[in-house]
Amino acid sequence: MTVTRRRFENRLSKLIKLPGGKTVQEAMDDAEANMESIRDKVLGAMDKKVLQLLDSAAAVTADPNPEALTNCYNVANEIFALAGAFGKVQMGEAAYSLCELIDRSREAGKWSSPAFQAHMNALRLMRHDDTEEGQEARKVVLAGLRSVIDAVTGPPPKPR
Amino acid sequence: MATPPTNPKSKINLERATVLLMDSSPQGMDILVQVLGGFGVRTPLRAMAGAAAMDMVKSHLLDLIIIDAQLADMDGYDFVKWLRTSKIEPNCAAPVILMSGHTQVSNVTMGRDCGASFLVAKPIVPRVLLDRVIWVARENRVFIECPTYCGPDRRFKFVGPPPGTEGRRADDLPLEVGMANTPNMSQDAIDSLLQPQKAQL
Repeated sequence: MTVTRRRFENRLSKLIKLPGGKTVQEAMDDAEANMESIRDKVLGAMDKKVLQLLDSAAAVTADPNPEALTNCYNVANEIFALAGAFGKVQMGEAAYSLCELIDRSREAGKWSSPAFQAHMNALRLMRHDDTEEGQEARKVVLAGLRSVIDAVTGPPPKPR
Repeated sequence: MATPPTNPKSKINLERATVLLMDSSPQGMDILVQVLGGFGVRTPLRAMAGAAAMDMVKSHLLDLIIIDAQLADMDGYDFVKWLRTSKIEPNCAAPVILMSGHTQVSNVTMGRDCGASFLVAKPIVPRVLLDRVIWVARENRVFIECPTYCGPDRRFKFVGPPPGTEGRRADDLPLEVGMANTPNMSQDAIDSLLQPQKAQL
């Protein structure tokens, strides 16, 4: 097998050292302030995605075809990314768990509508209750989702 | 992957860097634009689909690409693979940070083998992303081209060949140290190496 090794100039390494700019701390502070400015807009859009997922639940339960599951997976993956970026960690975990259920079910060739419904119920709960007092209860729900996935699909598969 | 800690007081300048951002979700793109804006990037190029991004690769000189693994019309992994094998120089070797939310089991090896410079797990956290940007700016890995892989050298820790193998490279050293082939140094010679000496400054 022929292997070619070449060295290209890393232009970014030169540009980043140019005079001016800002300190690393300033860059992080500015980025966080900028993110805060779009917080409400992004979380509003995320909430619409959660509703979209919940609205599609009945149809997916009735007919869990590959296209519908891929769509659910993609929306849940987006919810995970948006929720986590703005500190809605448990909502993000519930969405991540749904991705995990769909992916591992596809890999294992098994499907469980009750497991899917449990995830929908968890998302509904996270959406309605993000209070400090409900945090422990939500932790229990998330742990339950992990057990449900293991029960349906078996242990996590190893990467190929 | 260990990253040296970045001094919060050290300065960075990304004002003149041409950065291509790729995310098919409008909200995901908003987050990226705001975060990179905070880092000092002036006007990042934005693409929400692979086809548009390919046009930008052909028409702009890019210093950094940040891409989501899940695009509207193609996988981010496939885009990076296309970029690395495109022979569009120097963009084919530009630093690429690939962001991934949940990774499907079938895509884990794709993430490793597509040729990205760094994989970042979502959700996006400014501190983590800035660390990775600084990391890819500091690195100068050799670009490997072979039938099975195209991209920055995946072995950059220099810990020798994987255990149980002899290594495939001319400069791979054997794990076992052989017998010395020159005489041992005398104790005086060793002492003189360790002895503090006056230096004229």
